[in-house]
Amino acid sequence: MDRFLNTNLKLPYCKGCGHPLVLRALANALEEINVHPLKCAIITDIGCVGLADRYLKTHTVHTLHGRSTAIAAGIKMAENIEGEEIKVIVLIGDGGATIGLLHLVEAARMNIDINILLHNNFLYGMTGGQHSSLTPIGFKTRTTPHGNPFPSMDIISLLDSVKAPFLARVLAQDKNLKEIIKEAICFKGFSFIEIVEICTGYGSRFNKIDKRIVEQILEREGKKLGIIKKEDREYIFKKEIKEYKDLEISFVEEKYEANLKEDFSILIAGSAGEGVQFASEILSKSAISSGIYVTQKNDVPITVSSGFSVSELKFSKKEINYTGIEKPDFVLITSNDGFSRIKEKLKKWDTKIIADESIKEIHGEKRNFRKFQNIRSGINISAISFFLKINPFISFEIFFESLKKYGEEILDVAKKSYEDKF
Amino acid sequence: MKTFVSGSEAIGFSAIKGGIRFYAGYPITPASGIYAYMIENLPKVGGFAVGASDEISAISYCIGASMRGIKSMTATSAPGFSLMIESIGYALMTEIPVLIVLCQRMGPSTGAATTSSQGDIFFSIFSNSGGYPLPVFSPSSIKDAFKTTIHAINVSEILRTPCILLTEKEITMTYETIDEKDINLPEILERKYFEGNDFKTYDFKNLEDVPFFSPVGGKYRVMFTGSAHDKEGYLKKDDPEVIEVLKHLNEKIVKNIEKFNIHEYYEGEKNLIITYGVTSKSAFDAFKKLKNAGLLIMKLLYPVPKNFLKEIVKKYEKIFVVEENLTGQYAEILKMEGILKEENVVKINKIGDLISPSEIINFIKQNG
Repeated sequence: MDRFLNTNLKLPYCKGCGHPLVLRALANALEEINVHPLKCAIITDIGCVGLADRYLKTHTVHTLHGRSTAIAAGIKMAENIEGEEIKVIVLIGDGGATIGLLHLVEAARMNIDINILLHNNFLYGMTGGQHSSLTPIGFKTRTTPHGNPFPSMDIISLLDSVKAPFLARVLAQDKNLKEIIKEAICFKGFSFIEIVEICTGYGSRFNKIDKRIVEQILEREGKKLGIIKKEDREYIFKKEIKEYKDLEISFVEEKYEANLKEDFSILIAGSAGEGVQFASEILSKSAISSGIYVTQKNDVPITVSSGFSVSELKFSKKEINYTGIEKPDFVLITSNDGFSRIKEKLKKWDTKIIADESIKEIHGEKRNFRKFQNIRSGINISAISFFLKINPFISFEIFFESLKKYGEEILDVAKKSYEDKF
Repeated sequence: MKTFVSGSEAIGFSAIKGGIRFYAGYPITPASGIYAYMIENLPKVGGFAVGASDEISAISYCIGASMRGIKSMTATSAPGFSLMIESIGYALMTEIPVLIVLCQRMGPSTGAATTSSQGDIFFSIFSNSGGYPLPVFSPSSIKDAFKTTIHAINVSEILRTPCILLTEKEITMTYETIDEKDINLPEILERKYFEGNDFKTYDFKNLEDVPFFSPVGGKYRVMFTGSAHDKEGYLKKDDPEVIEVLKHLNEKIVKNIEKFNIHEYYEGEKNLIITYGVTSKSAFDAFKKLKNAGLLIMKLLYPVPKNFLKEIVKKYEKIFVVEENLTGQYAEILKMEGILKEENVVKINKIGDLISPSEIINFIKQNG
């Protein structure tokens, strides 16, 4: 025990409290496992359980309330990058399990190789004996003076539902506590022990309680003791040594001549899910390979594939600073969603408009772009191809070339539209 | 050669180049692009990226990984940042480096997720209890994000503190052409590891010293705690050493930050434009068209590098602080810090859309 616990110091717990029993059982279990204290990290939550750090000889991390499991998970996940494996053990109370429930669920669900010791004494001790989500029905606390009206959470069943592979429940006074802790710590994967205790500070003050009554409460709540579940489950986060390489940025070769006389901007307004952004990106990249500077801003509602989608593109021979467009030189409108989005702004702009035939309120150059709606991104590739006929600031061949990897159909759309064959 | 990248890609790329090997994220516009980038690219270099169940888990995973000595990062927007605040205070108290990218959207609460804004200056700077400073950096463009991201990681590591990289939707979700020659990544700085005897988790001689780090699982026993503690890491209250540690947390940042000041300054006379973030781009266009005005683009927003700013500001009659928020938050910070006086500050503010160069020019012509 001395290798893990500083036995010269008196533990700061009330007479009859379960916490020191757990701490000693843990220290003995670790000693028997024969792991080095500095290959162990004990992560403590807020509450009386979190007073343990100074008595331990392992690495200790005292966390925020409820976050112990998440910090422990981060400590463990770091092993997927580098560093040798260490034992990571979490000491948490029923209060911490209440406020940090999702961290427990997630660690179990992801089968993170940490060991959780839940000290369940049915209440928040440090703050004065308030009830938690694990307080049994009928149990009196400072905040349930007439008895807790709600059923307690069966945390073991809950964690079972997310495939926690090792689950156990014991009483702090049980003789097999150390053995169960040992088994849990040696288990490869997420292990969880609910250790049921009596808070002699508040539990005994408000309730008639002893070991036998605790057993009756558990029985009434259908909570079994012992190792409830232990099964092999694939350890998902395992270190995989691979050939790593340095990250590179992909650069576009400027291999074409541009025919850009003046800087200009274009606004493409259409419907979400119809390839506005995709078509704009193909145009942008084609322009870059012709030595032009481009900025592309996309405006979408939060939903995907419904409502409008607008891309604003600026083309310049020089580097562009301000990416906004006060008045675009060209507007391409490929759907009524897009038109509705920019309708108000259009009133202020005297700008060249190219629109789909379906947009009745618009006068300008119109074509039937929407006839290609059954081809993925067809509508907007069509509109941009047609635009390149009107404004050949880059050669159509470059745009066509960039589209090649997306298949014959879309190439056909581009070609027909560029040739104005609608 | 040129490339076409979004701000999200620039931040993700430079973060990995800057040594980030752990990322935990939760989806939120306009930060989701960074999350996607890290999930795709971190494993390629031997790093690890994971999706968390909420922003509290995301930052907690990062803090845990950083305690093992792994450079860690997360990205979010104001609603997620709200959830992270408790843990950011924890990282500050435990002196654990972590980079938080805060991508601003417009308005309080859920606000307008796809509308840019610079409204989280106060929110990021004053997000800690106890009045402790948190370094806040803001890249002025996608091009600049390559540098400023790494710089923010460096400061986080060197000063052992959480750092905020404050950016906007207009950076993260905009694509721009970047010249290969403009991607000059700064030198990477590492946190200092302890070697020797008598290790203490939070040891320092002078209040402004940064304690040497040793990881959880390393050869020295560490005691990390978010509660008031002595140099050893023992939870204490009535002890002069605890007060000393609390003073150290402040001095470590404020006394050292000035040497990590990054900015761009173009000298002028009479009128000075001060700006930051994406608004710098409009301000730069305006500056080129205006005659005589100076331009100062700040990338270290907080703590304010007072000596540097005072020297510059005193050369000008009027200071125009241009920012995309309702009330001129950075201008207020500069007033609060004694850099600017009420009578010589002119705020140029707007929400809902980028401030255009012509708006800045007109404003300065009318008020200059």
